[in-house]
Amino acid sequence: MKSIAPAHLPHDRSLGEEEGAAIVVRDLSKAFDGRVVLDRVSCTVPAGQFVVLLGPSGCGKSTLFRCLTRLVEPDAGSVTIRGTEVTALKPAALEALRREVGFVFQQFNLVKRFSAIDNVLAARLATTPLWRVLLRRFRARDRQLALACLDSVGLMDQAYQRAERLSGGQQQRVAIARAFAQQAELILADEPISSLDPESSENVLQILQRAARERGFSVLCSLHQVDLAVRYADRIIALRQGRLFFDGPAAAFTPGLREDLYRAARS
Amino acid sequence: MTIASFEETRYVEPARSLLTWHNLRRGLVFLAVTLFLGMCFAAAKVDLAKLVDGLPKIASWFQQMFPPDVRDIDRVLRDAFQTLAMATVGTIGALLVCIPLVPLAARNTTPNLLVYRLVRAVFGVLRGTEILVFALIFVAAVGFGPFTGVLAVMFNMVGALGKLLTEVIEPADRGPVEALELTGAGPVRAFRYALLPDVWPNIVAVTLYIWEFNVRASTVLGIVGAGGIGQTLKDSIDLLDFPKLATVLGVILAMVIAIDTLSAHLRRLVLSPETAATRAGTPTRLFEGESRA
Repeated sequence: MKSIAPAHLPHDRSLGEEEGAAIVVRDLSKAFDGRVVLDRVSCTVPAGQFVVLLGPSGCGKSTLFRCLTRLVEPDAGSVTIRGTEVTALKPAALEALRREVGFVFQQFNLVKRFSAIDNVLAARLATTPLWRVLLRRFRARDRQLALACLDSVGLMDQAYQRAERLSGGQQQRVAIARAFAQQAELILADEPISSLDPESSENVLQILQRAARERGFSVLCSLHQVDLAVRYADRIIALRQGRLFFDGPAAAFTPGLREDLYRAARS
Repeated sequence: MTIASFEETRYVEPARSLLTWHNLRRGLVFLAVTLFLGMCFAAAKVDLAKLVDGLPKIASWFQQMFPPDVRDIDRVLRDAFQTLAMATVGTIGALLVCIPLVPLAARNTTPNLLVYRLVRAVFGVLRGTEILVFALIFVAAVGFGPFTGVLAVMFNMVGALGKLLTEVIEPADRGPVEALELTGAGPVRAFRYALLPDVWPNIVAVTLYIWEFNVRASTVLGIVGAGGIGQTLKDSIDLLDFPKLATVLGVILAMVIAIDTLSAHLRRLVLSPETAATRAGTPTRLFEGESRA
């Protein structure tokens, strides 16, 4: 296997690029049972941009995602989210940080028997007193927030529909509305469109793109569809076999680079 | 390929020998099972001749049961209701005790492995001791009457209901729970909001099933003095009062069939996907600048 010379990596980053960045990853490494999954990966997600994480299967995308909020503990390296070093946090502080990060999953992970609005309200559980949670009586302002989030993804009319009755695309939009309702300005989306048909996929990516462009959210989204990544993302971070392959504007991700990325995986 | 004749050999399959370890193991298992069954039949002193000899007696008793004695039927009905009450209160009591214990005994919700094993062991012991056995113990310790029956049902059922409830909770989908924990909601909130709604219908269905089982099991508790229609049943047999026996058996059967049917109906209702409550209508947007205080 020929070695991959990452000539297309940006040169030493100046501190200026990292200040105010949503996520800064430095030399992140992780191995499972002796198999290296992440090898000193360093990358940056600037604030207010829609960044897509690309790479072939097994390149370490999922692991990188899980390390960002320490769902999986990295072996070495650091993750800094909005200036706070995640890798150094104690459990209580980690929980507080997680409140500030919205997560969107491939499998939606909604409460199936609950309505769309009840699912969005779940984002407010952390700040709702226990008695309200037990009786499921949220505050009026939380309900207004939930309705606004549902409205922003175009599902206000489905507010009282049970989640399991909604289509895949609608369920994912409810999940995004839930992430919005956390009032977090950073959204991590782990393969959000893998379970969706092409039309719903475009819809979901449009919503995430708008969140970045119109509201200044920082969005990191992992995809394996390169075309969609190039069309929707502001920046692309690509991994190959656990190492950083590319970190730059989407426009600079040429078809040549794309071939390189996927060809090496096949060798 | 056209459908030609397959009379001639076209393919050769690898040979299979009869004397393999696999077949030997199977043969040994078969022998062991046969041996075990034989020992059981012998120890149980199965004697069909005895049954055949006893048939005329049973037939004559059956004949003497008709017409059934329906005087004092209101007393029989009251006793039957007492049995039903014992079973119901015992079930509710067991459910209440299970609520804090079951999350400790389910792999996905237990705080640590020691607690898990301990609570499971307790469930095992309680479940292994039959209701009638508890009734015998409690009649000696607490005295006669329906409350003793309630205690007997409760103690056994904490084990049986507890085990069934852990089997309802364990396969629940972890996804929504994980998602909510990632929003910063603690384990209690995540359990209540993501796991409980998912398993709630199954919890109700299992409880209904146990209730129905308890009604049947409680009919005999009166025989050892723990209240209910069992006592009436035993009295009528001791006095060889066959018409009365017919009434009592009839009432027991009617009650058990009614509860079984009701329980099955309620379980179907609860488990059907239509029953989760939803609100009617849709929210409306107020116009810009308009708001309700």
